[in-house]
Amino acid sequence: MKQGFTKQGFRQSQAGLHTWSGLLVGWVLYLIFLNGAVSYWREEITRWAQPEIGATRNLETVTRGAIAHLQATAPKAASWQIMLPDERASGATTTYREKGKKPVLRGDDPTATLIGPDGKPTVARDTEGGDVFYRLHFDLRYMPVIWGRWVVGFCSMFMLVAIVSGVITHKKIFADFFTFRPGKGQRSWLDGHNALAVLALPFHAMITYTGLVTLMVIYVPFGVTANYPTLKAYYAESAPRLKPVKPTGQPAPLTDIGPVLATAARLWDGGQPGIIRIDNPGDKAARIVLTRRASDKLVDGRWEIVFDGVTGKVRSSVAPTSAGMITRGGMIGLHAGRFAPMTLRWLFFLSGVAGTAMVATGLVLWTAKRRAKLGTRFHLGFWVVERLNVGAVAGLPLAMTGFLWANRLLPTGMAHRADWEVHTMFLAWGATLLHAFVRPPNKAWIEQLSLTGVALLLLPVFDQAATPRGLIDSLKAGDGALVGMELGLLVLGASFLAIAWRTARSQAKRRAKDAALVQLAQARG
Amino acid sequence: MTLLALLLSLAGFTALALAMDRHHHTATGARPAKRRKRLLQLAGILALTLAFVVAIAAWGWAYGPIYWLGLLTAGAAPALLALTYAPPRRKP
Repeated sequence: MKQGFTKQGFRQSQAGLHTWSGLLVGWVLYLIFLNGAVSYWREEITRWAQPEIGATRNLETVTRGAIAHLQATAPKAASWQIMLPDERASGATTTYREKGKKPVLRGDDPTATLIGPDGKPTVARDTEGGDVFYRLHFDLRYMPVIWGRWVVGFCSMFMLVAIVSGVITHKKIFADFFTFRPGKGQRSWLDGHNALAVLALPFHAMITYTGLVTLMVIYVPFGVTANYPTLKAYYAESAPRLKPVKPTGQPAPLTDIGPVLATAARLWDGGQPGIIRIDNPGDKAARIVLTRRASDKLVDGRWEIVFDGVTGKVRSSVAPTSAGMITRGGMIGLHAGRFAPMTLRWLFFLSGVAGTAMVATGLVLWTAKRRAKLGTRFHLGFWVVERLNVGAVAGLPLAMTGFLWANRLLPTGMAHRADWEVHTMFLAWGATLLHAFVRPPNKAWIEQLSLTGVALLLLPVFDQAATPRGLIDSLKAGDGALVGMELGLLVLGASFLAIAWRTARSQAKRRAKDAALVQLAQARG
Repeated sequence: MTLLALLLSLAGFTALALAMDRHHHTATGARPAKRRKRLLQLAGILALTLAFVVAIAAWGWAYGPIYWLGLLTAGAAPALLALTYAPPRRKP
């Protein structure tokens, strides 16, 4: 490395760039990829995390129930809000704002009530569910959101560099398109890394680029700052807010929500609302604002229809119109895949898993390459990377499984329960890192991978025994999402055990080979 | 339609793999003749193009290309796994 990059050929310089840009941010990229892939099942995980509520069958029932609940509990509120589920999710949430109070922007809204599929208020365990992985994917945790986003953006930029330099440096990446030679140590890791990269290359390039685009206004604000005095001014123009309406003081009954929903579906080509806001309910100046949900369109953006709350007539509507907004919205939509029906969702998820495995094999490859050269000599950098790899690659999935177990085992009445589920995950991750540094890496790999496998396999067993929605119950109820979750946990658990077993077997082989070599040397010596 | 596009993708990548010396050798025990190589490449490209046509016909111009790219990955992976773990039996 000391010669500097300039004296080497272009491809070698790219090799150095690829190796070091990859290693530097590899552990964070692994977290981003793994949590991103898992987030394609965000709604399903949330449903699994709240076994108290069943699947939503009829949106109108839920909407009517939510309005009835608000009417009964907060008839004089300044504004009501209903967050509706899509087909994959369950349970609507209602909140309201009393007159003269500011809306709650972040954190728990004390007025929040969960409405079950039957339209009646219900209670479920306090959990972030699938949102925890979704947030971790781009906000990280235990730091201001903006810091997390900068770290993730920085690492994603490196990812983009690693993708381009990787295609250049693995010169045989396309010639070796179909090549995988297992059981050959470093060679196999390189083959695997290449195959995982090239097979899902369109996905990797797309997901990294569009990921950066989702937060581009934070990372590259110059286009905005050159044209607007403040970011706020830019948002005010690009996504204008509705002007508040003053109540008249004259009471008037709210229009029936049925025709309102029907009109919205007609105007949105069958689209459904994700949020319903009702301003000045019960007043003559009532207004109903429907915001379209993200799951029935590719382009992410604000689609809104404003109805007169008394007559039910359409007053105004907004949809993304400029080419720039549609392009950006299309990229964000493609990244998050909220629109994706099941087939496509599986393709997205499997490509995401391939990306996760690509990063993991890249990290392991770094050590595999250097192990042969170092022999038995001690090298601090190698020592640290080897152990961090165990704690990240094997430790993070174990910690995430810990979150799922915390969701099942923490008492439902516990204070700050949702927070403690997350704390459990990070405490578990800390433990796996500690474990990776006190145990020999060979053993640490196998122990953590097998523990993850067993912990995942036992979850469906626990669900069947202790919750009303185990695999058999969900099969009987025809609840596809929960059947998928339970089967998914089983398959994942079995996969982790299989990887642990293969690791153990290949280690045994290597030991046998080493022993044979030593014997041969002794016999000759 | 998903299945059709997936099968076309799998067939296309299998043909493209067999057009490569190493994999043709794994499968048949010999290197492919030039003419055969060309034909396999052509067949491979044709199958992948057909998969694209099917995807556009089924899902339109907005979603079709996304499905196509996803199904390319899904078709190439089994081709790779088959060549690695279950290479076709060679004739003695």
